[in-house]
Amino acid sequence: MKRKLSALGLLPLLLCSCIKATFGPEDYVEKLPLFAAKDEVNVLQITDLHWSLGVDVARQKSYLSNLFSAAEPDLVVTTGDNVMIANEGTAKSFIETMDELAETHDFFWMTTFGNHDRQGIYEPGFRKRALASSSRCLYRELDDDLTGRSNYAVTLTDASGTGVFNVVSIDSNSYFQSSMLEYSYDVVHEDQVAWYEDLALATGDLPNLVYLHIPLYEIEYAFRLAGKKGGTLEEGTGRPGVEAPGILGRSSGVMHEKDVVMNDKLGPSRCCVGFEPSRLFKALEAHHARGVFFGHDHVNDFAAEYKYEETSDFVTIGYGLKTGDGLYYEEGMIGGTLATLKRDGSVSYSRCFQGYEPDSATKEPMFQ
Amino acid sequence: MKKRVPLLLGALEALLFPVVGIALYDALTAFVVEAASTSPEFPRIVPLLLMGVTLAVLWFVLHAIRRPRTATSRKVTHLLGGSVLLVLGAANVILDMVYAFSGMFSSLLASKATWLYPIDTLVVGFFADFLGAFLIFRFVRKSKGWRDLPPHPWGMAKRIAVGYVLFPLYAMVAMFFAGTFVMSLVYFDRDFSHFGVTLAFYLLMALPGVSMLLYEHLVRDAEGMKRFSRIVRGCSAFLLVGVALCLWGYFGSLQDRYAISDSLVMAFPLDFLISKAIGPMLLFVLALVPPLCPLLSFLFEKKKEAPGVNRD
Repeated sequence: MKRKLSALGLLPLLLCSCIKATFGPEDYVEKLPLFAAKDEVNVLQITDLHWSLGVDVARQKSYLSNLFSAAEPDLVVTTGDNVMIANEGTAKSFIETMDELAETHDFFWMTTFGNHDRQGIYEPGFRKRALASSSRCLYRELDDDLTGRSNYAVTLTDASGTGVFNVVSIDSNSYFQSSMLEYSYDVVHEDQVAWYEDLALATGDLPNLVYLHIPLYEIEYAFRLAGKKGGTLEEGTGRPGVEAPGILGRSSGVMHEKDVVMNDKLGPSRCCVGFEPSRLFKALEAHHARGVFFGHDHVNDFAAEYKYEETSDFVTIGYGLKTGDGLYYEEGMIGGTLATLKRDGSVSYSRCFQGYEPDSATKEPMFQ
Repeated sequence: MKKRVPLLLGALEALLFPVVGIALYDALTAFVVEAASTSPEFPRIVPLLLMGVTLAVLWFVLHAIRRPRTATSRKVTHLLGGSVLLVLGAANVILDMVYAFSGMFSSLLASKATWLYPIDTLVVGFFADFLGAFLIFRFVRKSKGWRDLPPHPWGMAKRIAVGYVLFPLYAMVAMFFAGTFVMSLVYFDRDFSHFGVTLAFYLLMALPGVSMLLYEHLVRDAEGMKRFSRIVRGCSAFLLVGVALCLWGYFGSLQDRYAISDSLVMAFPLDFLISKAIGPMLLFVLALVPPLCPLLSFLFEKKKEAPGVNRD
């Protein structure tokens, strides 16, 4: 009888362990006073490095160092697929390399996960622990019920601690088993969109930049609208002849991925999007997002000013330049994408092309 | 002593099975990503691939030594198997030395491809050389005294098809999944978030290896009614278990569409490069087809022959 009673005493403990703690929006936010000493902050996006079991760490470190020297970032955001078919050693090498470069070039960094980051010989919680041990990474992952892991934000503040800009990471997750034989790319789920909206409201609807890995449907819509304005499919500057919703402003860059039909909701596209559209872009438009950038498609760097509502401000939506030569790339189309944030809430963008040869850095404004 | 040697070899073969599986798993995962890359780092992973091949050859040589049929086959196993192991082992050692001296590997634990890479490839290379040399030595000193066993009841065509094509293929795949099963201890999702579905696939991974080892050690040398009974009962049991696990895995993954992509992504490294679920399909085939084949084949032969006089 005593044993049975003492066993019952464990029941509340077991029940508690099944219930995850609830968190408020502020729990997902790290503050960084980058506007304390300057009026402009450089945020550099690097993406799809694809370090694997056979990676030459020294060579890739040298490449990144050259890129950081040219771009002079204050904050670096990696938008996923940092590793692919890696192990704990490779993943730790990546984090250690980023930390060393962050110390050398004096920046902080944050990361959002891509569909391949989970593809490593380690259990899912390893990445959180490894990133937590980083000295310069601002990664934050809470034990919550929110879909995905890399959902968090960094608020860039001034000297008094007042927020100036939010830099938001949203996990675009990895794969969805659409049938027994096929996997589709996953999407940003509705609970994550609601999380973003809560976060935006809780931080006073600050101007914000959002980073994720898998592209949104809206980039294909923008590409189609660019086709109407004179872009051509052959050059990858636009897709004429197909209807698309929304309003286009300026656009630049190319899409050199092959045409695929991801699903019947989108039709032919050069964007490997998720299995269905999400509400995220409309939420960004409503909450003063200045830009949303992703990776995933290595030979696309198309970006555009886009919106749904006449009365809204444009949101810049686009691919970041693929970084490095991991997996596949196009010569002359690798580097990083720089967003220069200003105190007044405006942003200017540029592409920082960087090859593996020394002195191969070039920088050009995203929109001329 | 003579009776103990086959037992020891059998135990060694069983122990090596998952070890070779791990090596094949590491080799395949490294190969898959570099093969897909436009700027592959193949030279850096060649020792890893060589190690996988060497260990696989080692296992097959060991398996062949346990199963001599004729004096000729025994001599071929010792001489050819020994020579191949010697060459592969030497290739492992020489390549590691070249990489170490050229700076490709800054030390013998420099690269992160495995926990002990590349020193593990060096150890395997030396071991393969030792074993290869021993086999050749044995061939030179002992082969004159080797005699034939009673002839194999199968025809040459069937022996070649089963012994030299189907069995090696099945063994390689079974070893790979045994390695995947062992490696799952590393990538296993500690949150248990999709455990209800992934358990089916973990058991499916272990099934081919377990059935193969049980066949080798309990069925192959049995005769007469004992053999008949073990084949029928064993194959039926594995078939039932296989059907149950396949149904569990199939319907489970349709119900929980994130189970495999979240918790089993590293069990099927190729699948997520091409977005096709080849791995789970292969597991279903391996669970259902192999138990059916010996069962049907044996029952067909029993119909043709007189009872109690069958050995194969």
